[in-house]
Amino acid sequence: MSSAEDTNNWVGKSLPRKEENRLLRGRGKFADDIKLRAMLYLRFVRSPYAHARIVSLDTSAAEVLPGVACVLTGAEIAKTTQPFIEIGPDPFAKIKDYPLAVSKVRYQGEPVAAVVAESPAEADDAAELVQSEYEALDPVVDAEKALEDKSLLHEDVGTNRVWNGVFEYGDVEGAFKEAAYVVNIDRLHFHRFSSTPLENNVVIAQWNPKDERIYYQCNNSFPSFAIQFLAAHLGVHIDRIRVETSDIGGSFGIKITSYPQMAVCALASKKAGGRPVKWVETRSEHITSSAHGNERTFRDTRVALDKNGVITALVSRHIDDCGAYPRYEPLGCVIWSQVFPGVYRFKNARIDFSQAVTNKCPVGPNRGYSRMQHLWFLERIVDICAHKIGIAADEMRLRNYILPEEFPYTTPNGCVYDSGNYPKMLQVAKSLFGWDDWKIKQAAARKEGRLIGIGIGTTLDSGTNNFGQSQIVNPFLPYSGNSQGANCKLDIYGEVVLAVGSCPQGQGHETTAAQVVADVLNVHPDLITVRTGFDTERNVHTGFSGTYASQFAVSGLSAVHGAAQKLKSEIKRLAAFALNTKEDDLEFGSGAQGPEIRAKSSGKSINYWGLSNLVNANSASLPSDLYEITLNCRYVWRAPFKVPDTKKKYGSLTLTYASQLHVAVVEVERDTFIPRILDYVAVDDCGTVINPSIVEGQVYGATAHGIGAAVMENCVYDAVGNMLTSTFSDYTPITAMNMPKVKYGHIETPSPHSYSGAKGMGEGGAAPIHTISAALQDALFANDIIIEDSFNNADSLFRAMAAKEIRHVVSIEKRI
Amino acid sequence: MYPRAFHYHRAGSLREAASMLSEFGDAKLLAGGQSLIPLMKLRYANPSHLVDLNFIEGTSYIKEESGVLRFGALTRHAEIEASTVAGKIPIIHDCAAGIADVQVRNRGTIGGSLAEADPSGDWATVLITLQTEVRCQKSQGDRRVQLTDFIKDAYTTALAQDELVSEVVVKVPPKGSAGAYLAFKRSAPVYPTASAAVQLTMDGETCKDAAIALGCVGLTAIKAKDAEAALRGQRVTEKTIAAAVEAARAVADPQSDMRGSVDYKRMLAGSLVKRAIDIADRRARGEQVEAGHIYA
Amino acid sequence: MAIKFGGEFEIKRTPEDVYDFLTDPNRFAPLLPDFQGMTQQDQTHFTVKVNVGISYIKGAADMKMELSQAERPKRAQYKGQGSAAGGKVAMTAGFDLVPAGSGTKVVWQGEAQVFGALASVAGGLLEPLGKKNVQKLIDGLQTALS
Repeated sequence: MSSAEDTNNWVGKSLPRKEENRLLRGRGKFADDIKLRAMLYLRFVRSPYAHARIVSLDTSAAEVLPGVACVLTGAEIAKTTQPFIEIGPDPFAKIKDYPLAVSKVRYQGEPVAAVVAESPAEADDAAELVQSEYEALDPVVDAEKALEDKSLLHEDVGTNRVWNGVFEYGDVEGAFKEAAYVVNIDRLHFHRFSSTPLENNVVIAQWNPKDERIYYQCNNSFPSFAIQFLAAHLGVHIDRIRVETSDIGGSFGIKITSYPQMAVCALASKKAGGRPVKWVETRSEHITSSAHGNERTFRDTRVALDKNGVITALVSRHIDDCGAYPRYEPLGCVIWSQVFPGVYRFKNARIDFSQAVTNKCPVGPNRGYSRMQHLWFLERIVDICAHKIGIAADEMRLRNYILPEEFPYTTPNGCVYDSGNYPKMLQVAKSLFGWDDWKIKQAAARKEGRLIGIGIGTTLDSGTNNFGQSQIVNPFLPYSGNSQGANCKLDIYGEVVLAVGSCPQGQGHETTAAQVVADVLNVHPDLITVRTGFDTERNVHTGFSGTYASQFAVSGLSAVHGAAQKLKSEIKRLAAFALNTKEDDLEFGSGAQGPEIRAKSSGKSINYWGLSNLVNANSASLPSDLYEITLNCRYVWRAPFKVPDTKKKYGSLTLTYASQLHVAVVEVERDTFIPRILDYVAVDDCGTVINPSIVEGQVYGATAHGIGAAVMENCVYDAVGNMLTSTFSDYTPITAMNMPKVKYGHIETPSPHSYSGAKGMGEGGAAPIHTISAALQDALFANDIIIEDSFNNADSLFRAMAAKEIRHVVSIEKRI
Repeated sequence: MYPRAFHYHRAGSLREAASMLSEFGDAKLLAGGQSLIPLMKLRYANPSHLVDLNFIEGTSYIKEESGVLRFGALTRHAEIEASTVAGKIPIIHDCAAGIADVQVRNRGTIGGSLAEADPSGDWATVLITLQTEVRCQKSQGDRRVQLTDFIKDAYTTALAQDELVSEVVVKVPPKGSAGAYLAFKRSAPVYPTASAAVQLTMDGETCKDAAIALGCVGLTAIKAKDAEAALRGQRVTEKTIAAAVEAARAVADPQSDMRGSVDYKRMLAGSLVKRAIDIADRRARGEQVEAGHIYA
Repeated sequence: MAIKFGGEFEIKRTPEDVYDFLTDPNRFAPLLPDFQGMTQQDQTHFTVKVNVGISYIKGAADMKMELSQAERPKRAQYKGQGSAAGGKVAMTAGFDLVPAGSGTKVVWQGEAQVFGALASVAGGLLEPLGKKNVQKLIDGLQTALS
C-alpha cells in the first residue's frame, strides 16, 4: 500500500487527459452521432434580406412534397407560444423575439420557416420550395447610425437604443483639472468576429405525447439558462424539459444562445406527432446566423494623465452592437465592468454605455465576452497615450499597473482583484522574448526602412460571475451569486463515480475533476469515473450549471472538492465501524484489491467494494446510526457574493482574475503589407495550476483565437446587410498554418478566493488582439498611423498607408 | 447541406464519358470534385447527371517524352507534387505543392482544374507561362488546343458540350530557363489573393525570353505581355524589374472581395511579380530557391 | 452589394420608335440575357423567366418586371425583382431618349442589388459578370433597333 505522501498531489501534475482516448480516436459521442427511431430532419428557410417586411410566405408546395412531415412558420408558432423572455428591463419587454420571424425579418439568415422531412435531403428539397416575398426596409448595419432611430428594428420599442447606463466613479472633473496631459481620441472600434467550433449547433428534440415532456439531446453549452427561456416560450413547466448534452466539439460561448432553434425543433416534433426531430446546422448557417461576438465603438474618449504619464481619469462613450435581437444581452452592458480599470490603477472614470440593435446576426457571449472589447480599448488608450507623450510602452505600463502589494485590490466600481503580479509577468515575458535583443534588431531594421513594431498586451480573464450583476442591467432579475453542483459516490461495487454539471467542450474537465478527487481519496485518477455533460434528470446541476465564463477551475472544482470531502467523511465513518477503530486511525490509499482504507493500528483494511457492500448489499450488520450514510454525496458550492449596489453600479462582480501578458514583434511587409508575426510570447497567471498541460493548451488555443481575430477573422456586412463572410473561404478562421511559434511562460499568484488557489482561465482575455494592435501601432506610428480598429489585415494596413490624408483621430493637450 | 437528387454514372472510358455528356445533356463530369461538390452541396450547381471519371484506367500519369511532359487529366495535384518527373519544371512543383490543403491536393486534378477555369485557379496561371496544350476528347476523335485559346472566360473554356480534357501537354523549357510561382493565400480553403508566375529564359546575363502571368486578378489568368517585353532582351536589373512590375500592375484587372480591395490586389500582384522574377533569375543561375504558396 | 451601370449609344431611329420598342415587353424582354420566356400581366407588368449565373452554375429566375416610368418619348424605366439561387435580386434600368439629329441618343443607367448568400458566394465576380450581361442586353438592343 502506497503512503499518502506518494500520491497525494495529483493536482498540479500534467496528467494526460482522460478524454483523449475517446476524443482523439474519433470515439466520442456527439449530438449528431445520436440516431433515434422514427427521427425526422429539420431545415430552416432563411431570410435573404437583412431588414424586410414579410409580404407572403407560401409553404404549400413544400408541404405536399413526398417525405415532408410538416412545415412551420413564424405566424403559426406565434399563435401558440410566447415571445422569448427578455433579460433587459422596459423597453426590452416590448421586443417580440420568436424563433421564426413573424411579420418582418431583422437580419440576413433569420429563419422564417422550418421544414421537417424523413431525410435531410428531402428537408433541403422542401426548403427550396418555400416561396417568399418581401418588401425591403432600410437596413441599419452600423450601431452609431442605429442610435439615430431613423429606421427602427423593433417598432414597439420605439428606439434602437436598447440599453443605456452611466458608470461613474471618483472625481473625474477634478482629475482633468489637474492633468498635465489630456489625450483625446475621437473613435476606436472593436470589430465583430466569432468562434468557429469544429462542431456546429445540433439539436434533437422530442415532444413526447405520452408524458407531455420535452426531451432534448443537444450541444447547448449553458442548458440551465436555455431551459428557462424555453419553458416560458413553450408554455411548459421547466421540470418537464429534459436536456442532455454529450461530447461537445467546442462552443466558446457561441452555443449558449441556441435556444431559439431548440424551441423550433420541439414545436416541430409536437406537430409531427411526437417523432424526434433533428437539426444539424450547416457551416454557413453557423457563420451567418448562430451568434457573433459583440462589436463596440468607443467615441469621444478623453484621458487625463499626470506629468509622469500616469493615467488619472478617463471619460468615454461606448456603443455596443448586439445585432438584431438582444437574447443574452443586455448582460454584456455590465459584464465589461468586471474589469473596469483593466490592470491599471486609475480611480476616476465616467463611461456612458449604450447598446444598439442592428440588422445583423444576434450576438452571443463569445470567448472573452464583453470584457475583451473593454480591455482592448484600455490597452489602446495606454499605447496611444504612451506614443503621444513619448514614453516607452513597457515603461508606460509599469507606471500604471496595479502593484503586486496592492492585492487584493478593490477597483473603483467595487470589484476585488484577488491576486496578480503584472510587473513580474512583464519581466518573465521580456526574458523569454529577448526584449533587449529585439529592441536592437528593431532599431537596425527601421534604419533599413522596415516597419517593425513590438507590442505588449496585458489583459484579464475574470472568472466565476456574480450573477447579481444582472440586477445592474435589470433590478427585477431574480439572480445573484453563483453556484455549481457535483455528486461523488461509491457505486454498489465500489467504483468512485463523480458527476458534474458542466458540459465541457474540450476543457479536460474529466481529468482535472479526477485529479481533485484523487487527491482527496488518495487514489489514482484513473480509478475515478467522471461523468460530465448536462442532464436535467441527473440532479447534479444548479441554476448556473454549464460551461462558460472561465469558471470550472473555481466553481466546478470547488463543488467536486466539496462532494469528494463529503464522501470521504462518510467513508471514514463507515470504515471506522468496519475496521473497529477510530476515524483518525484511518489511512486512505490503494492496495492489492484497489482503493482501500487501512487502520494504521491493526494493519487491517477494507476496500471500496467492501464498504459499498455494507451500505447496499450486505447491510444487516450495519448499525442503525449509520443508516444515514449513502456513499452518494451531492454538494452545491456557492460563491461568497453579495448583491451589488445597482444604483451606484458598485460591488464584487467576479471571484477570480487570471491575467495574461503577451508580447509580439510584428513586421508590416513593405511590398505586401502583410502583418507578419516574427516572435510571440504568452505569459499566463491563473493562480495555482491544476493541470499545467491543460492550461498550456488553453493558452495556445486562446492565442490562436486571438491572432485569428486580430488579422484574419472579421464578420463583414455590406451596406444592405448582406453578410459577405458566410463561408470559410471568406471568414478564414485561423489554422495551424497561420500560427507563429508561441513561447509560453507562466507565473503563479494563488487566488485567496478559491479553495485551491486556482483561477478560471479558459477565455484568455483576447490578449493577442491587444498585443497585435499595439505592435502594429509601434510599427507604423512614425508614419502617423494610429491603430483605431481591432482588426488589421494586409488590405486595411495598405489602405491606411496609402491614404493621402492622415486622419487625425488623436490629439494631445499639454498643460505643463 | 445536401445536393439535389441526381443520376450517377460511372464511365468506363473517356470516350464513353464524352458520349454520356452528349447523351444526357444536363450532365457534369466528376473528377476530383473539389469545385463541383461544394457547389452542388450549396445547390448553386444542380446537374441532373454526374459522370464519374475516377474509375477509368490510365487517366492519371506523368510522362516525359520527346521534350514534353504529359499529364493525364485525372492526375492529382499531390501526385504532381511528389513526382520527380514533374519536378523537372520547378514552377510546376511550386504550384502543385501549395494548392489549398493536403485533402484538396489528394483529390483535385490538373485536368479538372483547367476545365473548371475558375478565375482564381492556380494551374492556368502557371501553365500559360509555358507552352501548354490541352487535349480535348470527344466520343469520336480528339483535338489539341493551346491553353491560351482553351480558357475563354471565367468558368468558360473552348470545350464543346460533349468534350472533355484528356491530357495536358507541357513543353519542357530549354536549358537556361527557370520559373517561379508565388501565390498569397490567407488560409487553406481560400483561393489566393493574387498570384504570379514568371518563367525567364536566360542567355548569360541577358533575359532572352520572359513569360509572366497573373492569377486571381481578372476573370481569367492574365498574360502580362508588356511586363514580358520590359525584360525580354534586357539584363535583369532593378530598373527593368521595376518596369515589368509597373506593366504587370497596369494589366491587372482585379475585383474587390473579401480577399482584398482592387488597389491592394493590384499592388500585391506587382510585388509578387517582382519576387517571382528574382527567384526565377536565381534559379536560372542554378540556385536552389523555395517558391510556391505563401500563407499571408 | 449594389452594381451600378450606365452608358449611351446613338441610333438612327426616332425617339418615339425607340420608346415604343422599349416599352413593349414583347419586344424588349426577349433581349434579356438567357431569356427563357415571359408572361404578361398587363400593359406595364410582366414576368420573365431568365437563366442567371455563369457556365454550369446557373439557375432559373423569375423576374417580376414593372414599367415604372413611362414618359413618351423621353424616358422609360423598368423595375424588377426576382428570386435566384436562394437569394433575391432587385434592379432598375432607365432609358433617357434624347433627339440627336434624325436619330436618338439613348442614355441608359441602372442598378442591381443582390440580397442573400449569393452576395457572399459570388463575391467579386458579381460585378464583372453583371456588367457583361448588361452589355449583352445593350448590344441586343442596338442590334434590334438598327
